[in-house]
Amino acid sequence: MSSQSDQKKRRIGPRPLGLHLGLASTTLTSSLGALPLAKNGHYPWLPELKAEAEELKTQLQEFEVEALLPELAQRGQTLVSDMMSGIEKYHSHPYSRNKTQPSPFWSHGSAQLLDYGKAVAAGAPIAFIVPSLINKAYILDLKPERSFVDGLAEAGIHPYLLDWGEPGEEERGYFLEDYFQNILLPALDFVAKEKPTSPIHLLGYCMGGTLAVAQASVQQDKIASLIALASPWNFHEGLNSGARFMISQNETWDSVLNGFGEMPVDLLQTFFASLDPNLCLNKFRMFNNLAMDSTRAEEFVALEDWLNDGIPLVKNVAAECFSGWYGDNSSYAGNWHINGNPVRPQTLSIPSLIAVPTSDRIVPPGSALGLAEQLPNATVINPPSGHIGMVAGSRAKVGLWQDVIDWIKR
Amino acid sequence: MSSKPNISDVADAFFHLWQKQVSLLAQSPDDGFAHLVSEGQKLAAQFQNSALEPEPERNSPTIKNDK
Repeated sequence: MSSQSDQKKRRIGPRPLGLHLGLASTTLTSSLGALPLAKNGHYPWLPELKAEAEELKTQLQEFEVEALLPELAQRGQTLVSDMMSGIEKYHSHPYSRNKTQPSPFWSHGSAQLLDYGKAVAAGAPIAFIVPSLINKAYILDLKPERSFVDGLAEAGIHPYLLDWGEPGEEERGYFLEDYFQNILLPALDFVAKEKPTSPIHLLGYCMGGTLAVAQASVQQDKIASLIALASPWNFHEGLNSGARFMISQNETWDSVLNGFGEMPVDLLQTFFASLDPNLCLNKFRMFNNLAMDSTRAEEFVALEDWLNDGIPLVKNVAAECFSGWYGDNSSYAGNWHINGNPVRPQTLSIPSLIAVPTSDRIVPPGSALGLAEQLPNATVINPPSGHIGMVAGSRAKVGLWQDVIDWIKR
Repeated sequence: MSSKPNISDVADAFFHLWQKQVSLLAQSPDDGFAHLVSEGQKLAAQFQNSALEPEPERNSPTIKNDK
């Protein structure tokens, strides 16, 4: 058993900090530019905001622009200052994740298959859990009462969580195929051999679900069902033309990947920041108002620490994801090959559970539903939460965790 | 009878509305941007039309004739 108390290190998030501060300042300054036009009804609001804007216009017209601008500047400045204060409080918060990690059941290179079910009865159903390659696996074991794997074990299910670890010397040269041949396929083979009487349910979260589909297509004779939680599959769904253009700039990405030798965490975080430029401003303002010794503040810090503790994506895999998944939509098109064969969900005869959270801003629901479309035996559930809240939020225990437990024990 | 709103509240409401506009644009940039371009063109045309209209007489005929 090893402790993870060594995670107490200097915080640098929200990453990349400069970008988040810049986005907050840009929102403030652009609001000042829009105000005179909005006051005169000459600003083109989005359709869903038009009624609200029209109502506000009559109030704006009660004042001169010269009076409104300093008020708006002061208000915006206060909000940005509150956000900065929240970030400072986050940096100095005493929380440190100190959850005991079980010893590995199997390992290869940097990857470890962690056994969270040592107290579970022999023959219990197994959840073989595959997380994303770009975020740490411990989101599924964040802290007491926020641990999906503990929740499964308490329900009598034997969880094995694949912890990819940080890419080491060996993994830096990996292609996706290597992750399958060296880690995913042999790890599941090992579990199947060691636990021959236990049905194995293959569960993937986020990008881990995408990988799990390919794994299921190779090893479906060894698994009882496939569970994909917020997993992208139709990569062109919900991808706007700007993002498509950016992704299609192969020369730029070659330079980035050759320069850094990997896809750096801060660059990956930049993609997520672009999904909502106000997210940092709003959430750190909210955090600034919390009592720092409250449970809510501690949970915020735990989640934020995880968000900023990403894993760089190794060079060849990043190139494959950009070019194959995002560029050619190879998964949805049936052109993604693993183990010498195309990955085709249509060929899976095992039952599958597809979770598509209603408020997912990271994986567009249409992308995850693309997998359900192609699976012959898919059951779709829609947890009323976001991408991360679904697995680690305050309602996860009675929501998604219970759905998964019911599915495995049905 | 409605009273004049508080200027701080109005500024606050505007900033929040602006934040919503920014977030929505980030989440559906294609549709949002196309809408903004289309609406912006309409507003620009309105501006142009109003600029081409002759200025109303600044002096009333009554005053003009009142010599």
